[in-house]
Amino acid sequence: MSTRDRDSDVTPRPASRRDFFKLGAGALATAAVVSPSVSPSATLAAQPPRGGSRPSPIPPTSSGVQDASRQWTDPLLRLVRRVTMGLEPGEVALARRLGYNGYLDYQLRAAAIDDSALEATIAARLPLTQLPAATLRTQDSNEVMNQLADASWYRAAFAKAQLRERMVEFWTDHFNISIDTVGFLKMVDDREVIRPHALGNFGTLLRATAHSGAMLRYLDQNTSRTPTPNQNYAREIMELHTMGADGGYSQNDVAELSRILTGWSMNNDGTFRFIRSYHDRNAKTFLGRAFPAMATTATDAQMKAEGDTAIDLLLAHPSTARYVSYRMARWLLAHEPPSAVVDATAAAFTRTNGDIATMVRTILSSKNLTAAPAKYKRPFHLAISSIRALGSDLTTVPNIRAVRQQADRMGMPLFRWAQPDGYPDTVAWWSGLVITRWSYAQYLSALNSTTVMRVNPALFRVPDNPDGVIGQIDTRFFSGEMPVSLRTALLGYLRGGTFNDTRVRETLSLAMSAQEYQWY
Amino acid sequence: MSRDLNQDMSDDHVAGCDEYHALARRDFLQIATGVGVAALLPAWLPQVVLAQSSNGSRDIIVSIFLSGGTDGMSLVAPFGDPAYYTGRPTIAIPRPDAAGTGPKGVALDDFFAFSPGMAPLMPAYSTGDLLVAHATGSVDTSRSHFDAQRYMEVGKPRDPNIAGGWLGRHLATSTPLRSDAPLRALGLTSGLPRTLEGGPRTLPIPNPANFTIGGSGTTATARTQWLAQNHQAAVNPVAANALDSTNTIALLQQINFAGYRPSNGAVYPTSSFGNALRSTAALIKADVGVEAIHAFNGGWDTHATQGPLPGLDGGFMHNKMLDLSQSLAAFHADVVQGTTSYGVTVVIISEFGRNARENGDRGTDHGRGNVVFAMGRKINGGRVLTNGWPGLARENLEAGQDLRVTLDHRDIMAEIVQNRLGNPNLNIVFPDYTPRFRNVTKP
Repeated sequence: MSTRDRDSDVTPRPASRRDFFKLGAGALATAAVVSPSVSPSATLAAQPPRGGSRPSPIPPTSSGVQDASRQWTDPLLRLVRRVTMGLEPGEVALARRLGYNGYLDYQLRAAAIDDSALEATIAARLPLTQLPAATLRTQDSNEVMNQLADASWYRAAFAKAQLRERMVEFWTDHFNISIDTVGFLKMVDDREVIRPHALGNFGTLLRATAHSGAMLRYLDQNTSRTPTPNQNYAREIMELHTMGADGGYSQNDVAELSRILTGWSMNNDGTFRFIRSYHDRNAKTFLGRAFPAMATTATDAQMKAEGDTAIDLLLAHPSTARYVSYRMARWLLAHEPPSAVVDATAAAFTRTNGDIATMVRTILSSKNLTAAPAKYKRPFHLAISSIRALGSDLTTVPNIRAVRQQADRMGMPLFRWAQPDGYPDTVAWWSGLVITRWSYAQYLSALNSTTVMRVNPALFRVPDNPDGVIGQIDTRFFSGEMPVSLRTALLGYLRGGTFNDTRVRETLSLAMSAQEYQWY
Repeated sequence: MSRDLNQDMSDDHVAGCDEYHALARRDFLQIATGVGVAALLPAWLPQVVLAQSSNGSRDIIVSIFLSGGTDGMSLVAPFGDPAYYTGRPTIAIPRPDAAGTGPKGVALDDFFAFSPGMAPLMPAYSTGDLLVAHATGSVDTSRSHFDAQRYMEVGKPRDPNIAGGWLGRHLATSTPLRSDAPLRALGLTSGLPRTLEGGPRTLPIPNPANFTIGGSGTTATARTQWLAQNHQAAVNPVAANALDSTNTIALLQQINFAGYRPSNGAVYPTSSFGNALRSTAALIKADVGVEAIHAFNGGWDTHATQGPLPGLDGGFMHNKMLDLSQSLAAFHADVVQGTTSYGVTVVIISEFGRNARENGDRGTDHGRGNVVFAMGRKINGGRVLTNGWPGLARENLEAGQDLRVTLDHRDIMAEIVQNRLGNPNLNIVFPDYTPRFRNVTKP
């Protein structure tokens, strides 16, 4: 059974400052936000606040519910939280050396960052990741799937180019392809489409996805042929990849684009192939642009170029600038980004013809980030941030697969979201499954395996007493911004039993499970 | 687990009660404030189950979403419409009276037929417990999976700002079946389905048989307590979810999912959907106050080599239909016809149907009108409900390609909400809509 559901509203809409701080306002304040469509009297009790919150089954606590970001005073740490897979002392020290803009620039120039040692280890441990597509195709597809996910976990946890990993995750969702449908082709897509362009140019990335065997196969484009093409890819490239559902195209545009794209197909190894006999040579009109009928003597290149022209039209459409900017701001800044930020990012997109780094810079200005509420970590993010906070590295995690598979129970196995919109990025979707988060944290904290992963409590027993342990948790998990209430509570638990490695490990699991650690 | 544990339980929490006595919510809350989990466990639960406290006037609802846009004309073929066959030269379901020994439809009446993949549901249909409604759907015409599904789940088309889902709002505007039930609703999902958003005491639980935080048994109580306390300071829904979760651990651990025996000889397929309905049955029969269960059954996005018949292009959709129908047939025998304290109504819906004509890939693209199912002993079933079949001739199709929607799906859902779930607040559950009841339910 697929347990897939949809992301929340992805339609850009004006967001007020109240919206921006809605989470911070807490349950009582948001309970007053009612849908205008029903009468207030009937609604206050019945209607949950918009955005996935809901009537509280318990009275709000007197301790003062607030957005986790209120505890964060250091703008630089806000930046490190957003552009990495989790705070970690070495990364924070680097950011301090470089300063806010210097660190952001460093992360944006990912190509200049040397991750060769990590890549060499991945190549040695996960040899299938190195195979060319033609050979990959003959391998056990389950193992290909596992090695791709393992490699993604290693990179997310240990790459120095952390922002690239954050953007790889973003584009993986934006251009979602389920590995359950396409098998080894997703390995090729990750390696040759998503990763190389994650911080490059949007147009280049979009064109690469449109030539990716994985995408063509996933959205049934590879077999689409005249006279009755299927409309799957034509619809989704507009709805999800470029203009957005309300971006101003019609049902007729979907049908016309599906005709324009006929013939865009692939060879068995996933390499792009234009199939002449599939192509519709009749006249078409797409987004107001006429595509004249083509003679039977037209070359393959001329026929294929109709699709390239259509993609150029999509790239140049203002809805694309706005929609991609909205999605990116949502990813990097806030579940509901302010429209001013989206507008500025769209302007940057238009000015630079889709330069992703410029868009990221626009979104992640210190001013924007300081005002942004905390975002809720999705399971992958929580899982990786915990591994990083525990002080792990390639030597203490010789085989990440078991850890990954345990984490998959949190509901986010990589590359396995079935539908083309990618995993949701909302509090409402993810926060209900806390039990599996707590179980993962418990599992992780107890690991002491030389073949899977070894968590070393000694790292935290410095100095070797309860205060020392809590201090290390503060440093490694929160970079010194651990709330006092959490410090007190963790110390209380740690002191509630014999002070030994087991107790320390349990305290670590509570730190990873604590609600304060679920945000970034 | 739990039989042994039951023996260890103190009777304190149910002292003096011969009949159903719900575990007070404040007792569960004590998990967060110091009373051990074990002390709260299940002396009450077997008594609850045996008590069979019946409230015949309200049903438990099982809501199933067929995501991907199911081709309703492959599930329930309009064989009486000749245009069905001209539009689908390779993938149509043959008429029930077709010549030859090949696969063919199973007649529901003189116009509609189940495909072979849906035939296991004939017993439910014949007993009058299964209603088939055709040419149904939403007024939203986007043909976008994501918009169409979102609007169906929220219960109002084209309103991106509405709060919660229709089932969540139903729960929020109705009194619980059991006032102290720690868990009123769940999605058998890894995230909270939008349909259920807004529902108090509502969680996503992908596998109810495995709902625990793990680690050392001796410290589990203390850790759970710590976490419940810690999450009290979180924003909602994080705080509420954590509280509901800690309260639910004890509840679900008392139900012996692995040892569950269906009644009436029902056999659930071992697929994930079969297992989901089997767990649903176990939950309902444990009678712990769960009143709504939502599940997804995905993968219906069949643009190419759809395979609605056995042997056709690998029979992809045929196999999906078989899994769906066999699971539902088992649930029908086991729960709908079986003995439970409450009645149970099942609704099955998809975001949209697909084109009347097949495409060149022997598949179908996103369309409009579709089939909806409702099942239950108080469902006025055994018939195919249409609000006038719109017809598949090209001039009758929406945008020249799709089965028209002539029956708003909210008519069906709203009647069930009011008549079977006992909630008259239809203006809140389905805002800005005046449903027209279609005799979907019976008294």
